[in-house]
Amino acid sequence: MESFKLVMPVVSLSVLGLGLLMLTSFAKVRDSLFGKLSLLGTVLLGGYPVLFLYSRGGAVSSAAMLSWDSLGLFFYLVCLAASLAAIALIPGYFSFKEVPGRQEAYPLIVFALTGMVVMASANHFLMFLLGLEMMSLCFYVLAGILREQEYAVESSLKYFILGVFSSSLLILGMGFIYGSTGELSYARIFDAMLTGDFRFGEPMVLLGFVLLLAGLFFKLSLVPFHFWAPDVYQGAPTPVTALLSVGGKAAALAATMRLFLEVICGSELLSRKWFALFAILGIVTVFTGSLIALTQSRFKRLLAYSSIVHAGFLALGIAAMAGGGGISPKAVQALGFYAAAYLFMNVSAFVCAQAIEKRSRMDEELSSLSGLGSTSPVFAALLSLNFLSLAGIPLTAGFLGKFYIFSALVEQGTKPFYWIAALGLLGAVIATFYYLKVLVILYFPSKEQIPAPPPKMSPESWAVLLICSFFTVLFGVFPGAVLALADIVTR
Amino acid sequence: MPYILSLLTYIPLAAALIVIFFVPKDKTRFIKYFATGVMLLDFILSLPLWFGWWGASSQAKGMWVFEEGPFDWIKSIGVKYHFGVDGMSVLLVLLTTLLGVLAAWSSWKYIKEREKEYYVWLLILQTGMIGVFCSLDFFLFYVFWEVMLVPMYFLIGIWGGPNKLYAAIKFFLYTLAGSVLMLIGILALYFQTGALNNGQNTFDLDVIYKLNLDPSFQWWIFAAFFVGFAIKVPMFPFHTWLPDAHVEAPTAGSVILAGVLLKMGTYGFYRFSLPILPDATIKWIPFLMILSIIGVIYGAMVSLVQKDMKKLVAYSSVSHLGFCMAGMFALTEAGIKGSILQMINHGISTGALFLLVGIVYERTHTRMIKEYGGLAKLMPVYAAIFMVITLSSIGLPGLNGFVGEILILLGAYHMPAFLFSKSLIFFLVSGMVLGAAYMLWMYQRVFFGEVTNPHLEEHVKGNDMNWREIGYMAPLVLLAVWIGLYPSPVIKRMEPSIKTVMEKVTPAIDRLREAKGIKPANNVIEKKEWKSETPAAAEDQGVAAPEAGAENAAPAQEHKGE
Repeated sequence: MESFKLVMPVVSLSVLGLGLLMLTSFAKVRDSLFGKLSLLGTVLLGGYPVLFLYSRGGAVSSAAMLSWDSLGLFFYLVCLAASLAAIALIPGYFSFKEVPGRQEAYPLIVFALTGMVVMASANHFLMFLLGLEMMSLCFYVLAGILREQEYAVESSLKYFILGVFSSSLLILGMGFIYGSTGELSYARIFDAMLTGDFRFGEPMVLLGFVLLLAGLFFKLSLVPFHFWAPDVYQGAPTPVTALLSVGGKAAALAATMRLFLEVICGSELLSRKWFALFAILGIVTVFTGSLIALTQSRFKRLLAYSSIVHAGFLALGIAAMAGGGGISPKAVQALGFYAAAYLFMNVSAFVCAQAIEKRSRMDEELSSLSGLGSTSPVFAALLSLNFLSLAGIPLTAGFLGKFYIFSALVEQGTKPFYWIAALGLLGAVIATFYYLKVLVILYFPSKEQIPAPPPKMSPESWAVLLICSFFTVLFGVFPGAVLALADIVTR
Repeated sequence: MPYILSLLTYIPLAAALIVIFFVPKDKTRFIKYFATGVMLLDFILSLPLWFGWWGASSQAKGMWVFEEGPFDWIKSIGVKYHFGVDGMSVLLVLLTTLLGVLAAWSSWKYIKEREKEYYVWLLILQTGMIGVFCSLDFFLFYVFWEVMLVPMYFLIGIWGGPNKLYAAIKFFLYTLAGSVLMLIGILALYFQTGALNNGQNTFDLDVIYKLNLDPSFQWWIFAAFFVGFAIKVPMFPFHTWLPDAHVEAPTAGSVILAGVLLKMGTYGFYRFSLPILPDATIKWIPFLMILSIIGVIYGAMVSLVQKDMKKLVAYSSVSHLGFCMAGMFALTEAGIKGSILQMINHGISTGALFLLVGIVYERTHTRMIKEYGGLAKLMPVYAAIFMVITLSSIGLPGLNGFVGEILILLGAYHMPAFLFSKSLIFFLVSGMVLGAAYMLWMYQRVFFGEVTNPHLEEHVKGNDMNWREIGYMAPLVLLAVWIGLYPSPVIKRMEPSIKTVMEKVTPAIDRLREAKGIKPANNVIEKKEWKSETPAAAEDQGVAAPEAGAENAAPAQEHKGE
């Protein structure tokens, strides 16, 4: 029973994925019905393991290479929610694009979810690699699944080549660590780190971790590992982009956090300059992302740069977590909260991006939003709400997310942390500028601009948008309940 | 009335929600009346704050009156819902509720498109502004402070002038940049509070006021706060957003910007910088004073050369707010009194000036001074009211501006010489002279002489102010006269609050005096003045309490006596 508990989520998700795959090949189910079936299946078979494990207080085993602890379960929920949103959005999107069939998208999303979940919970390098590759392979295919569309193949290929490159960096890093310590399991490496007795000396281990992290930075799209993001985001089907930007990032974040919490925390290495690494990367990412975003005129590319900026804030959160010579529980909590907040506001933004797309293209000019403030007030209000949240205006989830991250930085109480916090927040002000730009187009159209046609939203899109916006506000006004959830992360 | 401050704060928000969800877009007439009615209700409900002041039972217990909470809001990080006012903020709340009514009332004709959204934003803005002045929790304060930017952004951006987008974004980003730095200061303070509060960090001002901070730490926090507040005030190098925002905003937006939003900066300095960071404040004084002086002189000089009436009034705000800052950082009771009074005065007279410019702009659609001339013949009532307000802005004795300015000068005179040179007074007085110059010169060019512009005659002849316009100008004119003749009810209300601030600041001044090795004997006059102020103020207090005559206040007074 104990061992079943450990593999239960993976089994459950795999059964779902394989079942859906069988269904695509052997039964002729209508597209719309298939979408509903997948959604229902994911809610049941994806949601049940969380409840099951949570009610039993989680399960951790280094023999099974998985630890369903609070961190794992929390990020399981985040990734599950992102996948559900993607599955709910796809039917409307595909029928609008007039591509019947393509039912294999649903099992691919489920498999990607399996990968993310495994990645967030793995406590062994092999399992971690398996999860990462499972997620990435599904994403490579999903990015190009509408291959007739403009940019689709480019997106898929670019993501594949750069993804493989990043994976190889990651594996090289793992190799270095294995060579030095002779271990692959997090717990064993932790023990080896405590003694500090390395076969090839400490620099080799350090190099290993740096390479490992570089691979993860690709998935997080931190500058200078961000070049793939705008092209891939633009060319992938919008629901997939939403999943990619939220789920993929959350899984990579969880894996990074786990590396620090379970491996590096026990060693001399923790006192190394992780703060400098993450702080510099974070600041550079925030500024580069915001400055490039200022020049964008396409909605999905804008969102791509926006998600790069948010990755920068996550990096600052990691700097706060690992920078002070010990693990800061506040920062761990902050990162959890940020991931949840980012999930809701970013999914909403992508729903809006999908609503203004044209049939033959994978993205749309920002001008398609012009004047929607008066012609589609509800849509414009929800979009503005989520953009203000992304910008970090109070009473939204995005503000509290930033607030927690920066309060974790300031809590460390030394000058460098203050300066980094100040720089990061100034970067956030620049970022606000391009979010405001969208509000300007929505509400203050210039005379010569032609009013845009109203957005096309399926009922499912409306549902996703409303639910996510509701949570964006709820998290912003009454974060108590949500924090209790994020508290689980630190338990 | 329990929870009166929350009531005041959320009534406009509730009204805005009602309008959003239940009133169709084309019922513009109803929306106008409803919004103005709600603002009026809010104002009437705020009157007990004024009349019930001395009877307010909590005054004896501590410094906050009409206090609410603290209730837990976000428990895990110690954010509390804590409302309350003291003698200073109560005046600003009253000013806000009054200007809210006038802003809504004055927009009836001015706003001709998208009325529903306009009044909704105006109501939400009102909630944000009252919330800022009532919050006694730093987090809560920050939330209101930032949220307020959004309605103002839309007010400028949708209903503004030709260059509105630029102005709206500039306003938003400037203020945001200031406030994020302030946030870091707030967080740094927050992490100091644990020791005083059973290990739980808190944003509650009551706790933060008890902090004893290291002077060098204070210096950094002050720097962070300074950027946030100085942009809002605005002090000299940070003022460039103001002319743009003022000129482009619709009349009501300008009134609220000048009347209330600018006060938030000075309020921030008074509420947070002075009592929490007294040592840093003293170290910053030379810098602050120089910036204030530059603001006073520069604002006035730039006003002199303006061609646009609204821009002239906008730059005059820079000058007037420089005055307020100089008074506050004189760090004497008289100076702070004058500074607060001048904030109220500026709200009244500059708010009124913007309304007046709006009145004539609605008729002629131009604000260029050179297009006018001889207006006094065409609109005599308008000219008379404009004259009163002009004189009040200049500071003619008998009108409100004079009282504030004289108190500030008095405060600057009593300022200890080792803090800042007495030449300050010279600059302030020259600012006053310049102020008279630009206002009177504008008045002369607009109202006197022959009517040179034929369009003017066509548009305004026989079209003097109507009853609605006289109606919303009347309260401001009456207030200007009343404060000018009998300011003591206003000043008495702020006295206890100033005393608490001075209790924090005086020891810091003494510390610096000792550190500089200046013996009190060398400053006999100052020291004497210093001492003589305290008993005099205490007497005032003694006189005030029997006046109140409330059962609650009397025993507390006895207790204090023991």
